Amino acid sequence: MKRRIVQFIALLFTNSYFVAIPRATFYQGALKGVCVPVLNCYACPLAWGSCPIGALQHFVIIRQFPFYVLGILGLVGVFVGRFPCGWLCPFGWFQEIVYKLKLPKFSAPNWLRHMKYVVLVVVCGLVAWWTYEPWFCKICPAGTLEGGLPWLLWQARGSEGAEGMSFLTWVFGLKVLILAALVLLMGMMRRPFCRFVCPLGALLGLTNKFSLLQMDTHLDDCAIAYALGSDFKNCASCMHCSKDCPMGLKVPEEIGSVDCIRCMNCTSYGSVYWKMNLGQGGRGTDRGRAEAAAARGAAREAATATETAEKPEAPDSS
Amino acid sequence: MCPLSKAIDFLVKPDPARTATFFVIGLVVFEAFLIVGLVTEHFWETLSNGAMICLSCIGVG
Ligand code: SF4
Ligand code: SF4
Ligand code: SF4
Repeated sequence: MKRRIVQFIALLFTNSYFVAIPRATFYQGALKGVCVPVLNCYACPLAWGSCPIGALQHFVIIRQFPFYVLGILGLVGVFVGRFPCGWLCPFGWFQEIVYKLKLPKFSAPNWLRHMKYVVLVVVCGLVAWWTYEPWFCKICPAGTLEGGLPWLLWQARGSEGAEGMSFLTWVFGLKVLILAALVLLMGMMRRPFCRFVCPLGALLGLTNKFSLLQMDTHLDDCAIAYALGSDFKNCASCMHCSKDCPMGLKVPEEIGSVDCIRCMNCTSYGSVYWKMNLGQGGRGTDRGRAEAAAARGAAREAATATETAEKPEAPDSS
Repeated sequence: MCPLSKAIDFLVKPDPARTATFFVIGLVVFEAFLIVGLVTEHFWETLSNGAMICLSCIGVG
């Protein structure tokens, strides 16, 4: 719930040029030069900042090393790793909402996760370099949702900015098709775009390994394992924490992975902590320990309640 | 764990001190990138002037 509120505030914050709505216009000020560390399309009429992937391709096209974009992303990354994906990115949140739809759910093979590096290097790098065109933007579903569709609406409302624009291009058709297919997929598997495609997630994820904010496991503290009777000794391999992971990770094994978005869902089982990495290692933070203790208490209560409910009534001996 | 994840682990994670060293190196390098980017590039001009809408993003071009 806490995360939903933060995601909602982040959505409003990154898209806060509300004046654009009554006037069917868009933000044109100098803040458009500031990269936000999430996939928030800069063509969105309400956005005041720019998308790092759009900006990255822009630098590739003008043949300049993207010092500025990598500087911003790297600085965010060294402190919190892929945390913006879990808490701030509107498109990540959108995928979590769509996943709640009642559609058949299935998982995808793990190797697909490597595809996002191919997208980063080939589509955002090589193809942009050769063609002088931002090809990722042409197929980006976030751009369709946050930029293309609102601009179509703006045109229908007679906006000056959208005058003369033809949306009947094959690029627009392709973008809408990709978005539609992806929305269907989002309903059936967890965050497919973040896990398999997003070049921004690929970049930020690399910093997960040495960022200040780290995740760590202490499986002997797992509340579920305790409730299942393993008495704090071991992970009971029940996979409860993994089922709660929006990135489909096997949490006990993959907690330090480049794909962890630091959403903190798994910390509620007591077996995972967040901690600050400054070389001391250690056993999590005081807060982590307190959270674990609370989770253990709740699990113990739940286990006792289940036991009491399930205990057959003693036969009446009278 | 994916091979890339393993490779970075191999570089960064053998001991906590090395992880912290990488953090400090990352901090210095990316801060330098940001400063160089802000001081020497045309970023502000290229994104703040001219066409404010990326036609590729909205699917027009
Ligand atoms: S189309 Fe996608 S990649 Fe391009 S600027 Fe918009 S959100 Fe970023
Ligand atoms: S990986 Fe997902 S959450 Fe992260 S920036 Fe990309 S779309 Fe957003
Ligand atoms: S491992 Fe935990 S913190 Fe990381 S993405 Fe999965 S649930 Fe969130």
